[in-house]
Amino acid sequence: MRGPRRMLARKMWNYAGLAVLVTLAGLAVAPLLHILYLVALKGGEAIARIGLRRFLTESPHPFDPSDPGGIGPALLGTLELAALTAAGATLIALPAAVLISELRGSRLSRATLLLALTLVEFPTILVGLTVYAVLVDHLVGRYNMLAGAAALAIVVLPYLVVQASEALRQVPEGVREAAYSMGAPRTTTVYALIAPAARRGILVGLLIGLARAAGETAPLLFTIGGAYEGYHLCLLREGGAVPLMIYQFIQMPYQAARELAWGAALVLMLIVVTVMVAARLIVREVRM
Amino acid sequence: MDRRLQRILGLGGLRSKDDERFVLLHLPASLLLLLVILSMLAVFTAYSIPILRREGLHVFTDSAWQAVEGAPSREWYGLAPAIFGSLYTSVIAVLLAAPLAVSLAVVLEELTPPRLRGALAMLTDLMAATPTIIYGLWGLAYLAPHMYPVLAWLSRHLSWLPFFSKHPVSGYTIATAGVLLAVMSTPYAAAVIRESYSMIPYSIREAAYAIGATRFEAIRILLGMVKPSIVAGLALAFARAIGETVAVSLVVGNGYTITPSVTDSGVTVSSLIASQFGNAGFYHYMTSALFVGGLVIFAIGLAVNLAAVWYMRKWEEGMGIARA
Repeated sequence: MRGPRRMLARKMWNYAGLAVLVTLAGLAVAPLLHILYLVALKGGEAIARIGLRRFLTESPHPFDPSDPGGIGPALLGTLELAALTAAGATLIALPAAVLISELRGSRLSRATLLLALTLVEFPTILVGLTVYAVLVDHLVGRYNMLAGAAALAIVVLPYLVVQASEALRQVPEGVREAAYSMGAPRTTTVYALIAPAARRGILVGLLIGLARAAGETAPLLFTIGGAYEGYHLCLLREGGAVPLMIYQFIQMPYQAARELAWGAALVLMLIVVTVMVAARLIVREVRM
Repeated sequence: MDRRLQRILGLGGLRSKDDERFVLLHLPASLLLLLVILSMLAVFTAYSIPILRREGLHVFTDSAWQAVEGAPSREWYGLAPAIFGSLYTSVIAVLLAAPLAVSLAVVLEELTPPRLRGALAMLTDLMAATPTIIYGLWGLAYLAPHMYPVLAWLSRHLSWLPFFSKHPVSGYTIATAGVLLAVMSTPYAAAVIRESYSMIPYSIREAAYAIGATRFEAIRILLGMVKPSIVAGLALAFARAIGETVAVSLVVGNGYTITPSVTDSGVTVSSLIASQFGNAGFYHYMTSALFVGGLVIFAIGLAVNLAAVWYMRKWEEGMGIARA
């Protein structure tokens, strides 16, 4: 059993096994690389034909093959939604995360964390339907940007709670003891010392939450209505957003609409990549 | 603060007024999370009542989808094909994602040279962060057309298997949706597996090598130790796949039938909601039927999620890893 042939067989198995692992891992990553390539190619072509400035500022003309226009209003809508989502979600997520990490061990802390973990993987389309029922169907009576922001905030909120509570937990106990020994109240200690010490972790969570808010489509399907003509920032009116525009325009049987969708996809991908790179830089600093 | 309230919240250590103020100040944030979940449940219950009152449990078991404008008495909605399609595409996705996610996690933790590790980790992060609509766009424009010849070949040569019994009409099929979902959910499962794989003490690796294990044998031993996290990671991937909407609705083909053949077009609950909800206002019961569909994936998602959280926690306790 311990002869050299047995050893050879094990060596062969070793190389075969490692080769399979590496191949499968490559297969897992390959689609992303192809997506990046295809979006850059098709989106790049569309934007080059229309012109970058016009593409980023004009309203779309999905039926006009000679002049498709641009994604201006949708882009503004996405920025508006992302800003509102970030503000709203942070205001609620930070205290919830503080509660989870400060009162750790208590039933309240565990229950709050469980609520967040349950919400974090919730189907986003269901969040959209709920907000539709409350804000569109009952309170406002028409599709509106506020409903979109609320839906996105609910999607991002639990993620932010989990991230921020993990970051807060990393802060050394000594910081808290030092503050208490000087007689600082608990709330002051947390917000003046512990939260700033965990700011990088919290910021990374916020950035990734922002990337999600910019890219989510399903929560917007039945909330913002998808209006792409003309600029406005009114929260109680229909509006547009880049991901929703891609979803609607790619299903239209018009060449111009598809070009707009691919160009919009490139813009969206660039936003996401930028945010991810920024997050990565912050995390690397933490390690050093 | 009231003693009884303190006991319910499990806050034994509150002694000073300062601590009490702190809790009262932060309690609303926690209550708001609870309120979000409760209001979702309330909305779904309220909107589901009309169709449940009219059709009873038939709404879950029938396969007809009759939308008749202006004649509510002739409307009839059965969600069986959509529920079946949601489960079927998600199961395919998890089966395909399992080997991909495990390999990705192991390669990242074990086989990637340190210089490449950052880049590969960044790529997997980007996979998770890429918006689902971008995956949908890729599925619509590239994956589905390129899946068609493969599926046609399979149905020609393996048509005795029920999975490939139908000749595909186009690339927009259950199989395409399953593959796309697998691609999308792999990074999430891989992240869970990676995290617990990296928590294995180094001494165990040393022990494996000390008794002469090859690299692959050592990996198999270590993977055996993180088996629960593989299950938990795949459960999260399943929950993610069953809730996914826009990408699936662009590639699944929207055929309203129950079929074991993955080369046929299908429908999922969320793709049905995406395609029908906009027009549902023209009919009397359709909105309600779609909310019931939402309730079904709500329940499945919640069950799978809670099971995964519970499973992970039990395992962490077993490993003696303290978690606050």
